[in-house]
Amino acid sequence: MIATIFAGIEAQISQNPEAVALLAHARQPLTYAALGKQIKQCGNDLHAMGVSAVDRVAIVMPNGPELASTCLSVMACAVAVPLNPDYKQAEFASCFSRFKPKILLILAGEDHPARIEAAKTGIPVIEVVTSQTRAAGEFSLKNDAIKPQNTSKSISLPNASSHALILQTSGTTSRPKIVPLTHRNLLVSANNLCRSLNLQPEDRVLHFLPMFHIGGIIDVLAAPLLSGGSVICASSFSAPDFFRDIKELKPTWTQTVPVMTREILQNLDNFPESVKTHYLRFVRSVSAPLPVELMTDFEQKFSLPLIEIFGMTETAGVITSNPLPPGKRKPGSVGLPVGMEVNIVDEQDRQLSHNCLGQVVVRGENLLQGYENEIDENARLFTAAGFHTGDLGYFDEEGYLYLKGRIKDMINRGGEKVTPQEIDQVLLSHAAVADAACFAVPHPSLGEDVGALVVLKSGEAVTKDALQAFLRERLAFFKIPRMLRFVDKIPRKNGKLQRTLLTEMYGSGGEEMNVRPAYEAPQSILAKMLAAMWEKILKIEQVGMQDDFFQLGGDSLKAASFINELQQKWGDTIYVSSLFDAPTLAGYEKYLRLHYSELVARMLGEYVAPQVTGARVTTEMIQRLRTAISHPSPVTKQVTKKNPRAIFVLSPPRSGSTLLRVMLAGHPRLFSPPELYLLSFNTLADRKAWYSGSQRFQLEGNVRALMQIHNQSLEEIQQLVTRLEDQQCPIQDYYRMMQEWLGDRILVDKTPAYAIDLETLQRAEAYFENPFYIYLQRHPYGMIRSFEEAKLEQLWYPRLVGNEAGTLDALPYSRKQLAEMIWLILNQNILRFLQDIPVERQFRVKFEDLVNQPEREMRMFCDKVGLEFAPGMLNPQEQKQHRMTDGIHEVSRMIGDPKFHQHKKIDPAVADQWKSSYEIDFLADETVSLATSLGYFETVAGVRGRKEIEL
Amino acid sequence: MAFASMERKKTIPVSDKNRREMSLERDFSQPYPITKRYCILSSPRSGSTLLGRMLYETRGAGDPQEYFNPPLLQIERERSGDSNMSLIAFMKRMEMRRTSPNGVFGMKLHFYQMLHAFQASKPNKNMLAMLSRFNHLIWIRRRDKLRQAISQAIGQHTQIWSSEDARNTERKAIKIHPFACVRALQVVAGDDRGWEQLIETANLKVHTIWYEDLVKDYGVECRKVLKHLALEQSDMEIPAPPIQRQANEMNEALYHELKAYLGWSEEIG
Repeated sequence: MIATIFAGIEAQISQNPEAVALLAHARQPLTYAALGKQIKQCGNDLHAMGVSAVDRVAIVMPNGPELASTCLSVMACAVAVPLNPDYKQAEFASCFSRFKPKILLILAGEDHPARIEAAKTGIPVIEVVTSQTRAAGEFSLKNDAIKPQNTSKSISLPNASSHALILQTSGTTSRPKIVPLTHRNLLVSANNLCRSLNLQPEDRVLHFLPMFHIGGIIDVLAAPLLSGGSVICASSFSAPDFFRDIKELKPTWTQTVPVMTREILQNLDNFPESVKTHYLRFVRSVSAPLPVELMTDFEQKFSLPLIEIFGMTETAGVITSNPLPPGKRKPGSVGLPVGMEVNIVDEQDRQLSHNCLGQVVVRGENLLQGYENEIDENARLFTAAGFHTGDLGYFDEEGYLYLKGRIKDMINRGGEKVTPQEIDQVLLSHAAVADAACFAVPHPSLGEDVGALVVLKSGEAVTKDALQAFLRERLAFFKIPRMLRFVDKIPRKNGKLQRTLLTEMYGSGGEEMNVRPAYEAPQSILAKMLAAMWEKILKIEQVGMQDDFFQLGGDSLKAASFINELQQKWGDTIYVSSLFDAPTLAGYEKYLRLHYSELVARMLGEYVAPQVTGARVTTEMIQRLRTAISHPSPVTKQVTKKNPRAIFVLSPPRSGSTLLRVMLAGHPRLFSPPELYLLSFNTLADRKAWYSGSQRFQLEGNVRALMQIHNQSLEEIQQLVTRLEDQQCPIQDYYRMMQEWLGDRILVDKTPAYAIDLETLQRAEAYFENPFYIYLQRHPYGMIRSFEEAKLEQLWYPRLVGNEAGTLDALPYSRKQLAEMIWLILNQNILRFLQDIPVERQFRVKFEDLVNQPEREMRMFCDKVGLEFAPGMLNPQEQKQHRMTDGIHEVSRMIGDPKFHQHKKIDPAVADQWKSSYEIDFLADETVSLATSLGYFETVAGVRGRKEIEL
Repeated sequence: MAFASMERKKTIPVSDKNRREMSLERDFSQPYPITKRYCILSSPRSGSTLLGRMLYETRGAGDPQEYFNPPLLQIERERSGDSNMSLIAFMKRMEMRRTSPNGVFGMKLHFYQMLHAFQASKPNKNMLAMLSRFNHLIWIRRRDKLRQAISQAIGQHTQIWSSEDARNTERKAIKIHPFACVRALQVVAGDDRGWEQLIETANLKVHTIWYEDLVKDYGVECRKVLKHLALEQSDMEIPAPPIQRQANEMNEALYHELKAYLGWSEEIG
């Protein structure tokens, strides 16, 4: 049984003494036998200096083969404490005081701050003498500090439980913690790694990582040697040296951090042949999240797997790793557990199932027993659940771990929790961005806001505004960095991103956060009026044209207040999404003039140009929109058990579905909330991400439903939803949860957006036991008129095409054209879907019949679905709270028909409004054909009884 | 003319003002052949009543009333006993009764009245055909739409539409929520915008007169209108304003209230 690192090396020496252990550029290689001799010699020398197995030996040397052999030598007889040679004297003072080394090993002849500090504190300095003419890793110790002792005294050698290595965590805001690791820890970790990478004696690793980190000692030094392989020791990383070494020294693998990987790719043009001639069988990526684009690019260029892993100093290295081929690598995942027990827990240490986000906890023999002199921290972090890593993550169904950032890095923007890593990834997906890092910056009213540093690719140019606009299309408003600064390089400590450090460096100045854009006075009356409203709501003076509502401290509630006030005063429906689409004063003025031109003209007495009648919808147009429709992600969760029955209302928008759902809400056996927007997504987290931008208000229907179910406050429900979102709660599970909460009431899900995609509709069949479908139809002219009146393109175009929607400044279709195509496509999808559904699970109702004969239709529905008719269904305007026709707070509106409350009762006249709205038939043949098949024969010409007289 | 028939079955409320407008006393002594038609394109509370009354008082410009306003047809139906009288028949009657001896017939027309008469949501060719029958179009409008909206809101609240109304002198301070003015703004601005867009789209030739100018330079503006209608005679006296301006302190108070409600402070403009 091998008990120590050196014992492991000795085992290799006995098997193949002449095999190469260490190499370096332009140096003679060092064999295992010679390495063994070197280790023993150093051990004897240290023993002669009185160093025992429990003594700590500080090592301050530049990277290279001699540092490698020195560390191995010290670990063989004592406790190695490798320190960063770039530390300043004060840092050495701190280290010496905390680690209490018995001696300091330092490169001979160096006038180094460590030597000065050691002299100051009385630590004996032993010089490590090296020579370029000797084999890589050979050295001798020069001792002018300690009087040699009697070496006849028996040497007490370390055993498995002895400390072999002392490292420290990378703490920044707090003092780094001391991590003592035993030989057992190191051996278990090294063996885990050897197994995961299938390391063989033929393998040769290119090692350029610092050896004062665990990766530099275990991953690319101890582990390869314990498997009989060779280690090429580079003095540091540089792209040219990398290409030189992979050509000359022929490594079979190496380990990089993403910054190095990016550097390699950026220099590839200078070494084009290297991608064909290298011997690498894989590259391992450590230390920081590996952007998917980077991984893909690197793998394609080098034709090899880039293996992302997760490891910590506290676990002496690897925790999880993506497997080598033929195993599946998953971009964005850090892979499968490697020899450790890894779990995800919530705040109460309860273990979470897959796809649920929580803290990563680990157990295993490679885990340290506890930080040194950290009683409280140890008690907090080491619990029955395991060691709390401080990382947020989740497992997918196949057991792959995904990390979502550090808990302490989470930015709290006025209560909205932001994971900076998520923003990093989006920034890095921009073609011009080479590197990016987000972090918290102090904000006077929000507490914290988001800041970002961005490094542009060479020769690329992009403005802050353009980048923010790019992010705005992909992220919720509260995740958009208000402070965005371009830098040449992002500061990293030992290659590792430390966001708290960025906060220290860039946050406290926060000048960009506090410095508003140069004041540009509003000129128009509209801008002045809007500015006055913002000033009042945000309690801020002198809002200028370039000021951003959210940068000024606006949040979603204030946005809702502003929109509410605006529409109350102006007497028209304005969507809250408008402010998120155009958050600056200048942008908002432009937005209003574009989308509400008549309203603005009316309020201000301004001229508005006559509307040009749009062309008819063509077959090509319909096809183009169909192609552009964004489809939901494939279902990732295998359905094992179906949920109880639910009722789905299927219809295009503006078909009267809000009226119908509120009527259904009047039945005591039905629970019929506003739009839930669930079925299109795999998890609540996916759903949140999709609705992260200006459409996030659509998520309020679900919040309102939960407030009703639990009779709890908005804050309580928001916490519940956030927790479920963070846990990546699968949608089917969430439906089931909701159904359990409802008891014997039947859930009615009325969400017109489901019919955008046939596959979404099919999920209802997959998730529920014999679901029931109400298909609500409306005359196309009725739906189109209503769609036009509600200006629904603002909500529906992005809903249809997702991120491709871009800004709403120039839609490819007129409002009317879009309305008609939505009517057509959604009805076609519903009809296709219902073809395969037994008729006893369908109820078809026309809006025109619903408003003219509501009782008859509701009785027919109740009969069909097996319920007793409830008279309350006929009074949709009553019991506002019970029917959830109010908003989630007093300044918000119900999700659904914005004009619902303008009606006092069910009004049959609504069905005929289109008849006095259009002068000419304009429907495409395809629409007319479908309308006719649904029983809608009336045309404008027929209703008007005259020929076309349109101007 | 391609009018749609105006609804005949609905009960249409009729005001004293409507009855005054349809009074037989206002008729000219006998039917005269029409040699000139003109139409005042207007919006509610745009000053068209003032202009119309002035033209009537000249006795040479017909009696431009809102003949497309359903209550007027209603009155005529009641008077004639012909409850099915069509708008076309009604117009023929009014042309006979309200054409001045010099052969001039005029009418006022709000934009929404035209849409209503044609049962349409927007202008069409039939409306243009109707408008083309007029030799002259006069477009009266108001620059200050907020004040126009306030006037409309007060009128809707009190149902007192003119200083000729006996109740006008009793007009008391009333409470009107600014939002009622916003709703009224939708009506008056929508009407004015309808004319604006139709005039531009159909390239209609119109003589534009602004209410504010009419009030300020009554004589000058009236002469311009008469000149446009080719009715001006050098020695002609412009009749004194036949009706009084209704707006008073209450309008002003509401105006400031509305502006404050909209966040449109004095500093903004």
